Amino acid sequence: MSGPALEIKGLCKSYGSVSVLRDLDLTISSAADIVGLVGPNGAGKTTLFGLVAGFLRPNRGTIALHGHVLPRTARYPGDIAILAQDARFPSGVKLRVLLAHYARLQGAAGKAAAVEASRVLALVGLAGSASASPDQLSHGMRKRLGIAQAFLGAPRLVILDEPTEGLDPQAARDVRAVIRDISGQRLVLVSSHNLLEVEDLCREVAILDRGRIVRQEKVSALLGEAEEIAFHLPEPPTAPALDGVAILSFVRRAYWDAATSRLVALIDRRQASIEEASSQLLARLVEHKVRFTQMQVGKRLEDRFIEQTSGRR
Amino acid sequence: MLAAALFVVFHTWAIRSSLRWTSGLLGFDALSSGVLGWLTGLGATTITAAFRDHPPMLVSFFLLALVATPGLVLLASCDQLASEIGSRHVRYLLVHTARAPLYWGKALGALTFVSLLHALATAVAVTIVVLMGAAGAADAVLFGARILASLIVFSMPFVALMALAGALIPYPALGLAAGLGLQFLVWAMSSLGGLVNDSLRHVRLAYPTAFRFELISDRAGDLAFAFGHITLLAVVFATAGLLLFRWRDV
Repeated sequence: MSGPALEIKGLCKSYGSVSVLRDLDLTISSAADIVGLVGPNGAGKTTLFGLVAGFLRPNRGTIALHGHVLPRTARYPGDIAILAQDARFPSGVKLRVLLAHYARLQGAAGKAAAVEASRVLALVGLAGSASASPDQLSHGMRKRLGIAQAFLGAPRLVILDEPTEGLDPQAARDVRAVIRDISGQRLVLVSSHNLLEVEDLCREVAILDRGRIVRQEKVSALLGEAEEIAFHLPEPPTAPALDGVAILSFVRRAYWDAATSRLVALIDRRQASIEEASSQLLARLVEHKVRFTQMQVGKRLEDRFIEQTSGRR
Repeated sequence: MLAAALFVVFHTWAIRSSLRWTSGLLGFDALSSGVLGWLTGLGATTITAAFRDHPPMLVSFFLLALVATPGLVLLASCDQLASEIGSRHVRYLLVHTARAPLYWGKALGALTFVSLLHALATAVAVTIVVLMGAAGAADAVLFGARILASLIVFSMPFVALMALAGALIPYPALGLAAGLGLQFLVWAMSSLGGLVNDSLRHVRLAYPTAFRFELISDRAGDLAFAFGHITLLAVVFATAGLLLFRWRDV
């Protein structure tokens, strides 16, 4: 293997006169990681995934996997797996038969294909439904089936387009656990509108807006670089308490955000480290008998997302 | 399954019709051969030779099968990739296999299905002919094998046409309508248009039915020409479909 795990250069895709991706560049170095792709509706996430998977033909640009530039629509079977958002499974076929069929298509022999089908069904918790057909499954179970087929064999890149959309919290947590389990072995590219999920699941995140990657960072860097410490309060702080925070030497500005019930302090990090600032702020709040329920250091991904995409969702 | 049922029903009807027809025309007079020769474009001599040299009931079955095959094969093979693309199930298939094997696999699957139907219908026809004592078993089986081989080859361009339609149109019924529409268009342009402009008669070469009745002839030249034309169109349709499927978004 040579080169980044995934390298996209100058990718363009239009549907008629509508340009969806415009000279998109994206490089992901790590071959075993979870990378989030977030963006407002219509930003081009699903189109980007369709291009990487070879479903769509780019107007221009290249996609390289581990240094090898991929042909426009042809892909090596089993190399890239995808949970496609709008693809459907055929009805009237048992899950184990369907998954064994997919495994055979990518080269597994008869018995090995059956074993592989059983493995991925167990992985997503559908072993008990192996004899059911896709049309008998609930939305959440069909989503799991989609994930199961994406985990057949040993793909080098797994693309999961909205893997927990429409799932109940327990099912979503199970799916996230499965994604974490395989993330050490291959590159997993995840899109989700649930930014907390991306924040929780991914080590790196790329923000897509209007057909371009507008920011790509490690999640820790994206959140940690923020010069902001916020406290969730059950009620607004008193004026003396707010003033008490604002007059601290390292505080550039302090304000009450009624919409999110947070007391926010913007920090000048040349004056104090985040740790020092946190402890002094805590002491000041205790001094003014201000009760808080949660302290948040740095901005949330959602804040970054809104900054980068002009607030469009 | 509906297509399969229609196929078998039609073939059964063809067999029964050919039985009645040939038993009433044992002499196969000059008028019949003249009419059939004109209808098929083979000429009275070739038709007379076919009925003389082969079991007559099987020859008439062969003729009817050649008439019925285009429509029935279009119907039986109209859903190769169309509904896979329409439902986007093709996306799940394409992460596990490449486009070309998927395309050829679907086309070969359809051709195998159609071939089995031909085999079933031909076996029934041969059995009836032998049981009725209308021909010797060896002659009937031998000619039945030739009928089967011819029908399979003749089916290839229609299967390929539906492969092309499926790569282009994500709805099986629309693909079928397009195939039948092309057949009608070619017929109208070559037959009706040919009355106005003689060069339009050549339009029929664009459809695999142009030389289908030559498959009945025993002349090597006729057979080679018919097989060549049929094979050429099969290759053209199949290649066009493959190129389109490899090029298109799914």
